[in-house]
Amino acid sequence: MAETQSQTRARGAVAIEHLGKVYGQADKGGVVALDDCSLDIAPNEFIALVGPSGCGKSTLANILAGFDQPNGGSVALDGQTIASSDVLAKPGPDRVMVFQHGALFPWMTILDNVLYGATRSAAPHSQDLRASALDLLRRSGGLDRVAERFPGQVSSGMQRRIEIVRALMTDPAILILDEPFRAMDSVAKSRMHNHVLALHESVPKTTVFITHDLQEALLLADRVVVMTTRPGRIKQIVDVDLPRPRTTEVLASEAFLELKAATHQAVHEEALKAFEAGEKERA
Amino acid sequence: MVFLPNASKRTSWRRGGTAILLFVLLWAAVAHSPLIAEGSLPNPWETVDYFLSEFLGDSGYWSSWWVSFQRVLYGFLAAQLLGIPLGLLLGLSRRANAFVFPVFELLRPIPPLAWVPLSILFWPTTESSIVFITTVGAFFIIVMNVLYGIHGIPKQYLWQARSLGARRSAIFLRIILPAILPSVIAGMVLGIAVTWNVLIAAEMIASDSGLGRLTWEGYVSATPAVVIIGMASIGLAGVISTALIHVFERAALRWRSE
Repeated sequence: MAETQSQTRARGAVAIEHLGKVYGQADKGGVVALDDCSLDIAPNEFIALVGPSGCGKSTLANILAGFDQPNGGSVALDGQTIASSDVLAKPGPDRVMVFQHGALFPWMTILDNVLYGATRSAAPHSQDLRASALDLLRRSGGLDRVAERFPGQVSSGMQRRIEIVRALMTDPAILILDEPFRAMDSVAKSRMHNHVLALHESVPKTTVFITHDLQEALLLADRVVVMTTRPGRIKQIVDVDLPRPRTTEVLASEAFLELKAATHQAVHEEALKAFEAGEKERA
Repeated sequence: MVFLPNASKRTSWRRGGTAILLFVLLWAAVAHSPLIAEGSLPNPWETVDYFLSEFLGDSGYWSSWWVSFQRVLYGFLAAQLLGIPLGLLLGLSRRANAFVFPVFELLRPIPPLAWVPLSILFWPTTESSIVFITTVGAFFIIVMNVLYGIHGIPKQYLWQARSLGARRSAIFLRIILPAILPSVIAGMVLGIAVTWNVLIAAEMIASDSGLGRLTWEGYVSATPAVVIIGMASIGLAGVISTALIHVFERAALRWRSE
């Protein structure tokens, strides 16, 4: 048991080395989406990738999740190479992605959605699984009450929490969240932030959170990785040494505001560059 | 069917009743108008009268219903049983698509009735050739609907399923099949209408039984009331078939309600 626990603790270490991705051919007007990105992520660390649209953060997420193949460099998960130019990209339940636009299966009840991934992995008992799914739903704000409904019958905030529960049910080593709260209003968003913060305390997981919102990144993450736009490179890594457990109340603290001011410039520059590049492309 | 603002159930029944009443009045007006030849169109009550005295108790009339319904059922089911798997094959296998689709596209524009002569030559009995022609009508529709249904599956569903570790069989059975079900049912709604269209025409050309034949015989024997009764029966049969498909739709697409 002690052994399993130490194994559990060691899970989710990610080593990204010199990762590169070019769409098309670099010398013939191809797009360099990622260029020489290196980053080490510790087990259970919460990383936020920030940058303007088109900076390659989604490409990085897709490579991590196994939907896309890099041209250079490699990614290792707990010592095993999961992505490189000669390892065939393959998604799997050890690194589950929650998508920007949501992907609950509308024809399955919420409970069936949550169990869909979990029942595909080698699982002990479906009865146990059911119980733990209901338990995790309950702890995600009483969602066990809507377990027999269909996704179309609950709010978008609930849908996102359900998707995170579904991802957690396969017990992944990494959880990848690709701008999951982008389309939400600010009240719903801040409730989701508190939910994610609390969940990270109770079910710690290596988490890669993609966003273009610096404040959101600083609020949630242990480290914020600021990316540059075309070529997508890592510009700066910010340590967020705000104490945990955190809630949205930290947003008003002196320490948070200082951190935000110090980081703002870097992100703003990139956003501006991306905007100008976009203008040029259109011209 | 929620594209229009909801009227209450009672209001829509009342409106529907009014519409049918107006239609009957219009029919009567046309029947008595000087524009059409005397006696070529019986008015509504003459028709009802004729129906009550000649058809209601006539087993031949009811067996026409039975015969036509059976043919529609066989043709429609055969179209689904052949068309859904073929649509899946064309939609999911690049190789099958490359081999089969060109031929399929060549045959698809041929109207089902153009198959009548060949069908009569080819099939051993009239019955089987009529069912075959009926199948052809719905077959191409269902294949196309399955194909478009597969192309319309949001990519993130498939990505998500793979990300969650689903095997190919689990993706096929629990993602692809339920995702295309709305398109399949849309194909059924279109298909059943075409099935009736084709069947009635085929019966007039090639059969000695069924509602189509009954209508045609009304023409041949110069009894317009029979023609009208035949047409009304076909319309009613179509409405009943469509209603049955909607019952199936509501049961199968429970997740889409509300």
